[in-house]
Amino acid sequence: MADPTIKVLLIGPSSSGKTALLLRYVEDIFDTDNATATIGVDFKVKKLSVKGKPHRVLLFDTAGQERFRTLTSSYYRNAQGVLLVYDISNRETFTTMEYWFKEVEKYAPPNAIKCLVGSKLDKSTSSRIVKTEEGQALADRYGAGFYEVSSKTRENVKEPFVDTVTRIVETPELMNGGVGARRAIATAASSTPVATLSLDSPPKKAGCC
Amino acid sequence: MNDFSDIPPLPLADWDVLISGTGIKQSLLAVALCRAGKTVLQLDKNSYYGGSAAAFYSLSEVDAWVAKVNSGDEVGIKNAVVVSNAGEGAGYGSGRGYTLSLAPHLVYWHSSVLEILRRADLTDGFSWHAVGSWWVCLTEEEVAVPAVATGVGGVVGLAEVGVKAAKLASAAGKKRAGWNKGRKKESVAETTPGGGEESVGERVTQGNSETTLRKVDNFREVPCTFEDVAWSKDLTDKDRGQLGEFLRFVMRYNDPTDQKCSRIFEENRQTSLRTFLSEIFPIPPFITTSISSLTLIPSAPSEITLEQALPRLAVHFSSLGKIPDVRSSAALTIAYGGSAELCQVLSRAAAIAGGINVLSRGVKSLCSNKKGDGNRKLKAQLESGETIYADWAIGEASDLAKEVKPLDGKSMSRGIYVIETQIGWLFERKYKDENITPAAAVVVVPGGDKGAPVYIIARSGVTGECPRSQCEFSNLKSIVMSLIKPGLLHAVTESSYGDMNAAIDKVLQVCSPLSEILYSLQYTAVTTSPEIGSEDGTVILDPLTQDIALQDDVLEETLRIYERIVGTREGFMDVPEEIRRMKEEMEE
Repeated sequence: MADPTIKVLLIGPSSSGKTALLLRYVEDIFDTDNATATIGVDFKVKKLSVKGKPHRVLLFDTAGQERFRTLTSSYYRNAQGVLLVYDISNRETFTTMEYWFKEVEKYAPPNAIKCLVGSKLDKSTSSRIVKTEEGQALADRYGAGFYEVSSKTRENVKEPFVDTVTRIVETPELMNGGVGARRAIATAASSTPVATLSLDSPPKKAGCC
Repeated sequence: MNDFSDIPPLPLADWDVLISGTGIKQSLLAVALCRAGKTVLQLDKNSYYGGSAAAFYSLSEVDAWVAKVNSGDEVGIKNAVVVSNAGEGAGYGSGRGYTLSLAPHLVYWHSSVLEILRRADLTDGFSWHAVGSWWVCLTEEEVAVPAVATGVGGVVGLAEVGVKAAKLASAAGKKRAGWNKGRKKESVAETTPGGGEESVGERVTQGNSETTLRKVDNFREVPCTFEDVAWSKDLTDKDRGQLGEFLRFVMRYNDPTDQKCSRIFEENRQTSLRTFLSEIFPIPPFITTSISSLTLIPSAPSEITLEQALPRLAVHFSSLGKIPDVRSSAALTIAYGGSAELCQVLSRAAAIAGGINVLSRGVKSLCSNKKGDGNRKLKAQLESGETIYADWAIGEASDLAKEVKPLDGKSMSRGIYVIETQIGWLFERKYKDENITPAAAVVVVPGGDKGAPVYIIARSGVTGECPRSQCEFSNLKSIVMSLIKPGLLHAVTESSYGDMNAAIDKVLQVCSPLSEILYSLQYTAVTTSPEIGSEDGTVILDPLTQDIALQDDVLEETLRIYERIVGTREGFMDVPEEIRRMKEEMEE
């Protein structure tokens, strides 16, 4: 049996550190010179073992569409988890979080797991603007997990991902027959009534009759 | 939905290509040109993606669109009418949860668009669903007419009938072998998980037992699979023979090596499908009506020429039986709004390839860049006050600040109806050994000889276009609840709103419990005449047609434009090699 696949999104305003967090978590890279999103790849894959069972986590980045707030509703389809990222040294990125939570409520599946992430924790002593309590309070209000992380120092980088995926795995209606399971990545037709259509076999123009 | 005060400025003023609009063609071009290394700015004057192929995700979004249509601000659309019988409490809330799409297209398995999406590595971005059978509303009297012709008896020509039936049966046999061959390959590739595939071997033996065409009240399933044609008890052997001959003709009419078929085709290009069928392959009128419904052309049968019908029928029959796990199906549809979803996924793909999408920013004027600010051929003024320069500007006339005149041609009535009743009969699996349940079906209510039929595309809740019922999980009460699933009926016809409503009523009459229409949106699409782009570098797109299935012309037009800009059709939408490698490494 192929490892279960889980779809997790990253959202949040421009330069809040989404891509840096993703790259640090998946590839353990921190590249300040090359801070723009990788062009050409729409998601990263991370193998993650939850309770001894391997899972394949697909992590989707915004591809720059957040800049003009033109993220498509299709981006949210079948997401089982969403990480909402702001920058603790930038008040404006935090105030937009209300907007991003509303986007999730509107477009993501109703029981998707949410996690609020305050990034750039390495700036905590020098230029923190958003207090930890503020972040925690906002997360509580939306029933989201909450972490402050630093992609630069690696501090807490794994936690929001591991926590979100664990909560997804513990939520049966997110794992069974649902949402993420339907994403057709060459999976065989499952036993659910909504079997996955495999589109991988290009139709050969067969001689007719 | 945008509560930001600032409007971020564009990152550049200088682009290779400006694409105005986020419809299907615009978005296909955006992906293709970005992947070919062009710098692409894709704008849309609307605050949503898709243009005339958009979807609305709440009833308030529909209301806003309707107001725009009725004030004459939506090019090509007029006379929008909303009727809502939904009480506040009826599980409706603000209406969030319904997806009303202006373009719930069917996509044939054998269509060039799907082929391109596969090559472009984009099919994974969607939830695909199978489209089940076609159903035609025919009364007993209409069906009875031809029964005079044969029956088992007709002693004359019995030998001939026998020969034809045998020929056909062997053709069908071959066909099924073909399916099985495909299936086996498929299952080899997919059996990794083990189990779940145990029925593969049985498929061959199916056949005879299940070949009665389904019928619910006056709605009759169109005989479409080869089993239907070869074995169905509802067809007489004579009809079977003629129909089989006709299907052979459909597959061969454009095969230059088959001189007989091509000659028949050349001689009858302009003949109406109906006349052609009654004269060359005499089959009873009700089968003609059924066959005609497979063209998805919402015109009166007498107006559909053979030339129009044959390519459509050929796509249908060449797609049929090819979809793994659902051999009675010929077409797919994309969940969450059909082509509306396609536009969005393509726009994201363009962004991934380096393009920029900006909504709520239209083109105010476009002219040649004569003064020579920079080297670009065109200069565009945006509604936001910004000025940008580009070598190419692509869009529908109305999106490039060009004048658009309505044509006198045909207009199309369209309607979207939210119903809450059991229409499950439309979505049942045709064969027991199919693993996939259709999520959409086509119902056709004919308008008689001279009248236009009404096409109804039914979409089940599985498409994600209706809110999930409050309690989906298992207790007895909720099982009863879930029997009453909301569904959407999309209607398309050249006829009036009245005929459209009457057709919807016919469907609802056979549904139980009797349902009222919770909500409906009707509008009229009119043909507009595109202005020809005058400036060098301006490319005016044809407006998207109101076709029910996504047509290959859509791709052909974008390929033509791509060739003009890039110089070749080679590599259209291809994933760059290094990206492909990167993805493969990632999976390891």
